[in-house]
Amino acid sequence: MTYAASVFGGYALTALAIVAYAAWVIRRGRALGRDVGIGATAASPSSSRSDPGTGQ
Amino acid sequence: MWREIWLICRKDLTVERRARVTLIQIVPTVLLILVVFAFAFDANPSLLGAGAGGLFWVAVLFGTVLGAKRSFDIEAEGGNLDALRLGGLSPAAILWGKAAALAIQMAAVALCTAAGLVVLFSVTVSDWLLLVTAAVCGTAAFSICGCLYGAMTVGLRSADTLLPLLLIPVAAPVLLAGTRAFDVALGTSADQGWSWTALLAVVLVTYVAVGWAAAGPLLEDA
Amino acid sequence: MIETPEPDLRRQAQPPSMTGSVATRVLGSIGLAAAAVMAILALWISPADAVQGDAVRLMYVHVPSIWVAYGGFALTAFASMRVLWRTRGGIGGTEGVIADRQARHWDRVAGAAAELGVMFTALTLVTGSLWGKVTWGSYWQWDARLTTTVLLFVTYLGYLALRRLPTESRARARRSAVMALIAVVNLPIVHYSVDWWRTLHQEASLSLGPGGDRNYTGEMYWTLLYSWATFTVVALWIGMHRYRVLRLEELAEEAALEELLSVRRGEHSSEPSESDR
Repeated sequence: MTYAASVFGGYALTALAIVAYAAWVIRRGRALGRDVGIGATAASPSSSRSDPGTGQ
Repeated sequence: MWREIWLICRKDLTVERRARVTLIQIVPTVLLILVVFAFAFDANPSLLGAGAGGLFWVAVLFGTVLGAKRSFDIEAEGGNLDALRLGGLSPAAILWGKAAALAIQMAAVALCTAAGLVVLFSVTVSDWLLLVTAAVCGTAAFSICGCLYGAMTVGLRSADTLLPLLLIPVAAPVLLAGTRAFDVALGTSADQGWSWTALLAVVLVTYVAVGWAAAGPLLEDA
Repeated sequence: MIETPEPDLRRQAQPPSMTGSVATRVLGSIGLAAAAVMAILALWISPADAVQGDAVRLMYVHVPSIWVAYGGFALTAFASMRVLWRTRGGIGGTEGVIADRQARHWDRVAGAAAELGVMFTALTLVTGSLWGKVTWGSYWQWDARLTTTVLLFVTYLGYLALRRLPTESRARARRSAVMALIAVVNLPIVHYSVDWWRTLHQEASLSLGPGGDRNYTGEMYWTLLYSWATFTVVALWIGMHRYRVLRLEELAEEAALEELLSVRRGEHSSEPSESDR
């Protein structure tokens, strides 16, 4: 395997994996949100952040 | 406290004496692992003698997975664990009682495995004290670990398939240290056997501490 | 059930992405821009290594991945501690409700962080073996660090598997929190035993490849730090979405339970058609 192939392979795989995971998360969020009828507003951490030490 | 632990331990051993699951299921399975390894390394039989120390620990680890599963299966049926808790036994007593019973059974499994190694792979021992110390520490560490993860998965639907996945990575240090110590005790390596046994003891002490801390949160809701 | 009055107020202003918010959109944009800059920095501007040549560029994805993964696992451990802390109090009353909410919050944080950690550990292993193939000539070496990393990966895979199993949510949160803490306590033992296993066995000669101890030049150092910052932003962005998805999963579960209950109630009173389902 050449250096270029492994470098580009590594970068491409990383990018692909991150994008695929993010896409999966967001799509699942949309599907669930539609089912439940509640969007980000209810699901945002700010609504459940009653803990002062959160630091999020 | 000690009386409660003894009570639970005796209960588990009585169940074993009646059902004999360890004796007629786990011990044969573990011996089978030895035979299967002989098939796997058929091309190079000298590897079997050299790898006997590791083989012992792999076999005992799989025995512990089965034993831990069994140990908590008998509690899952009919909400037995709740009954014990309602009977006023503390979570720590339940955990340590079961760990003690499992350790006794696993000691029997380890003995049978060792006998199997001697017979099948013609292993000779050069340092008995090291061998026994390492075996006791390692088996006890496996048993505590097994009980912790058994308690974690008790009553879950796919606990049988999950338990090995959870237990084996955590038990890896014991497997490593035990193997190295055994290699020295069996005379196949000139490593620092006692250092590895000391590591086993450290692991054991750590698991005891973890067990004390985890018993409450694990068993309170079970 | 406690949450139902809240969402209705703002349902009209629902964004196109159900788990999106101003914060995630800002983070996502920053992450995207930073990733583009990172690609240019890492692939063209930073110099090739004197010994390894261009293969060293894999470092800028390999090392930040594991740093982010460690961060994720550390957050999992912290959150798990909070879960156990919060579930210790009694149930019932206003205090119990607040404690329960906080425990659920930290449980979600732990789940989201662990999942990210597992993904980035997997990326570390994959990019590392690619790097190893060109520098060592093999995908895998039984090197201490590699062995520890793969054990870490499998441990947290198990953690995620445990989280997936259906049980009562409070019990599940507590069990997985205990497991996360055991994993963290066990980590140094695994690390040292594996380290010892390998160094006693053979000389540590792999200073060139992934995670080697070479000193890198200033430009490489800054590129590495920049890449790490980029990965962190991207991970935070995905993590926030994942947290909210976990929240939605819980709500969906509650809604399904509610529906089931109302169907049951209907069965008792009048509607027999519902029982055909």
